[in-house]
Amino acid sequence: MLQIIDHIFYRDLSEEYPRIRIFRKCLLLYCVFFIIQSLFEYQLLFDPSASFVLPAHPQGRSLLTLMNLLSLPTMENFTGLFFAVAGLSALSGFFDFYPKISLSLTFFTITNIQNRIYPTLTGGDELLSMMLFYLIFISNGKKSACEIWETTRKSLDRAFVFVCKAQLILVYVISALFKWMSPEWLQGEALSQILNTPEFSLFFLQPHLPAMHYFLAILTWLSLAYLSLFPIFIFIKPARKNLLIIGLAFHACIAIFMGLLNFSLVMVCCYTLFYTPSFFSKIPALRPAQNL
Amino acid sequence: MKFFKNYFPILIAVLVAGHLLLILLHTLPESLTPKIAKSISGRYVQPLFEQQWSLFVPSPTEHRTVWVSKKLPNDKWSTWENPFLNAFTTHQNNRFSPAFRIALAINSTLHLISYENDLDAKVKCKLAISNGNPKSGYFRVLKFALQKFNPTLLNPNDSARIFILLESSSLTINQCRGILFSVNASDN
Repeated sequence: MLQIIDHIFYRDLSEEYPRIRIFRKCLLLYCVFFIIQSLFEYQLLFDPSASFVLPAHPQGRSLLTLMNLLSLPTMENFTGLFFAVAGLSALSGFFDFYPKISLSLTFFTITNIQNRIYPTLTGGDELLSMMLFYLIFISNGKKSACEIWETTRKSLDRAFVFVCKAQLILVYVISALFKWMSPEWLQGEALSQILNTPEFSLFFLQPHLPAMHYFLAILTWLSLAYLSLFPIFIFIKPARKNLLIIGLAFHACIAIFMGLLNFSLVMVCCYTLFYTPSFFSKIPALRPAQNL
Repeated sequence: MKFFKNYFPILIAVLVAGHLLLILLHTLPESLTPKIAKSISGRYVQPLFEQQWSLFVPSPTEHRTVWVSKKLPNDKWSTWENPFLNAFTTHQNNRFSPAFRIALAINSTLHLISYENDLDAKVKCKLAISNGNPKSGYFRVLKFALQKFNPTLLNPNDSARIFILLESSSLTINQCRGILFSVNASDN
């Protein structure tokens, strides 16, 4: 047990920093995509006079209210400002301009924007918000001359890198656990039932679903196997790359066939925490900083 | 200084362990967690770390569709039309569009209207159609969406019938359930 604690909280992170940097940039790039995408339906989703989505009404001075400011009647006209700040801070964070301040602002504004359209959120949106929060506490690896600050920085870096990874593994563990407790998943019926719902399917696919019954049953069990084995195989270094390639295919199917593109994008961004393809280092914007 | 260097990481480790434990308690199935633990973890998790990973469990066995028919000048009713078909088609044709949020919003709104109008409580016979309350909050949201998506089908000066059909894989077509709303032009 002590060895595990020692490994997590006293280890050298020099190998992790370039990966964390790429993870942060991927998430910030996704935030820019989210902002641009939401602008296309801004009037329908965010305009106070066009309340297509009923906002929750937070009450009192609490953290909950602070994270859902746009649902307050007095704040609803500031949605445009939140969009502008979110977009600019995500871009400035992406280009390493005051990364911590940029990340904090991105986290605050994106979470507020998301909470305004709470009924339309997916698990990916929630995961994005949490990962942005954790990333605020992770430095870029730059050493400090002050010993107290250096100890604090290293401890926080190690702890929050661990929390980011643990959070992603938790997603798979809990998701698999719920599915193992569900008769539809065990009987192989789940994918057929999900693809029968217009919101999570394709019209041209629906008439062919009865003919694909056995194929969908096998896919259901394979999905269950992937979710269950992810938390184990991710720790086996030789298997990691192949596992994440399967994950990429899994999330591509979720994006194309079920239409949950945003969820898939966030999950794939999170994979960079565990493995970064070598071609990423050839992209100038993702290349590790020289001063680390 | 040495004390700080040795014990600060341990303090952080304890905090991290507590944080992860509370998140685990919050996300675990209810049958595996004591009620008190759920309540405590819920209070901690909700503002910043809200999450739910029971993705597609149970898998959806029912879906709701909206059908609209409006009163014509000759006092007859128009044929029933599905006003959100275009939104779903856009969502299916272009997975990059924000239409998936619209699809999810429609889905949530219809789900919540069913609860607001207490459909299940009114289902007594096999073919159950209950009358919805046009003043219910989510119905107003739906009406706004209808006018926005298909202004020719429903504009504020129309009298219309709006039917939410609930189809379920556990029901046959003769056992359909639905909520019928009547909208009078004078109400607008």
